[in-house]
Amino acid sequence: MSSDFFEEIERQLVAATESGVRRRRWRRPWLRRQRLPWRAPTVGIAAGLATALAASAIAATLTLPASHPKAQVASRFARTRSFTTAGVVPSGFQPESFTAISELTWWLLGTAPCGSHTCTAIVRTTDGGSTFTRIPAPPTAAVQNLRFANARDGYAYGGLQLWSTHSGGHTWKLSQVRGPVEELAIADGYAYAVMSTTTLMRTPVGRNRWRVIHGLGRGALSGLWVQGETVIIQSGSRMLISNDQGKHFSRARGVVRAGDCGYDAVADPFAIWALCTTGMAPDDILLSTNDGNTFTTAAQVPNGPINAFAAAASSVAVASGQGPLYRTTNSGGTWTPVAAPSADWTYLGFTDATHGVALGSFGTKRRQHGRLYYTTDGGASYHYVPIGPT
Amino acid sequence: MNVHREDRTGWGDRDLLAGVAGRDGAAFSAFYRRHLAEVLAYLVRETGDPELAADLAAEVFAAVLLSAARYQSQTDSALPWVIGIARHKLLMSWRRGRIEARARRRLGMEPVELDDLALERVDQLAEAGVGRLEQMLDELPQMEREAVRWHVVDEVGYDEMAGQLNCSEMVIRKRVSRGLGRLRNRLTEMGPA
Repeated sequence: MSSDFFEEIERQLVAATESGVRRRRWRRPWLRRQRLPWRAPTVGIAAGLATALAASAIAATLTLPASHPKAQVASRFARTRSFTTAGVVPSGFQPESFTAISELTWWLLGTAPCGSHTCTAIVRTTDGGSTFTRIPAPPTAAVQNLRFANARDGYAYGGLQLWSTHSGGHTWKLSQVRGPVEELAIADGYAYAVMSTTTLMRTPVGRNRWRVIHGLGRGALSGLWVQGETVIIQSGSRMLISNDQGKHFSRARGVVRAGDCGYDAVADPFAIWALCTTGMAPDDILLSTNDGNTFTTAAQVPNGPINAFAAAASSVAVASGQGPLYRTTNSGGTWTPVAAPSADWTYLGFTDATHGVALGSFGTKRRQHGRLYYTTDGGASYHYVPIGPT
Repeated sequence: MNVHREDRTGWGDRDLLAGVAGRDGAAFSAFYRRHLAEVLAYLVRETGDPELAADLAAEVFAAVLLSAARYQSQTDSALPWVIGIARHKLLMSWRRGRIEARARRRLGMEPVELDDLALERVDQLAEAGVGRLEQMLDELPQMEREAVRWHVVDEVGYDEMAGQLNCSEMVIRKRVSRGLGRLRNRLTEMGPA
């Protein structure tokens, strides 16, 4: 065979094998699923991460992973249009990204058929999921993630596009970005975004004044998590923590040599959960109850690799591999099945210790449909939330 | 392909993966060549698209490299493990609406163009690989074969299968489990491709 695709792939992989598998950092989709960048009241934060986090948590914003369509095959999956007007929930709406600012007010970004195309759509509920309506989406097919800081200010992003609204979605404005927007989180009046895995930027919510945050070292950035004035991010192999909205970062001992890690933290009592991977499987879930100085490894979640994870409390978390949902109530000591239907769970998140959502993908791979589920008992059980015309 | 000339073809999969974990490029090369056809056969069958299959196959073997050190099996053949990775990559791609490139990004691999010659090669390799997979499936007892096909290949859930076959989920789970167990044993008997 002449020098072809497979030979070149083999050459590169053999070279990687012999060089010792030097991994590059990359964005973490499950981190987006698990992250709970809770908005916090602006209060004086005493020293200590636990105190900082305990003082916050009045609302939550949860998101799903962004997609970076590969140009070579993007046409197979491409979305071409969006619903840019308000109206009823389009028939066949498939949720992809969830964001909430309270137990009652949520938004979902997803797709729905529009003629012979698949279009981006955003729907909103202000009554905890009883009814939904469609709000205008940015005039692009490129966004796959949605975050709202409050009823007016929100961000939709994906790939090289970052759109912001300061009118509750009535109008959207495209921002200039430095590269692909990998992650975006909102807390305490600021939006933070990781761009191109190398730059962490911040802007006051309500304005589009993105500024670079320095002091993060040269490592590739991933695992952004924010709450109140606290910012956690992974830079290279280091876990960095800031207690002053990113002005200063210090290194936590964090997770050492465990591969790529994403973080999820809960308050009262404070704990940091980490989901780390060094390859396909198994993923490790780790827990720290001492501000990230040391971590203990949880029991393996059945049916790994882990596809979705979220922590409700310092001892309670839910996770899903390639099958049912599992839940731990003893800090990862054991995992037991959750009362929920069997699905490919693509997103899990909690707004507080008891309320949370899950997005499941049902059907076969060629005929999948997404469904939203809600829990009011800390992930012990989930019930279906229909998203349709009211 | 003449990327590596050291002879590792007589090694079992477990030894090859241990070698990969120990930076043995020849071991990876042997493993790659041994299983590429089966992986392509599976992916072509699932996607119906040689281009997607080739792209995903590259991702699968990048994931193999990343995971080699953690491979554990009671049997010598790693094919079920590799096919499991392929299935996972395929599912992730459908779910996210893009071809998975996670492992390749983590390894810092450069994009590789797919030309017509490569696509022809995909078809050739897939045709060679499909025979082995089909042969193994065909050797299973009928009920186990159907259960494995439905659940592993067509991704029908246990509950749906149980409903259609009018039996309990437990029965379906046992059939799938036994079928996969037989496949593993068969692979061990057959040895390296």
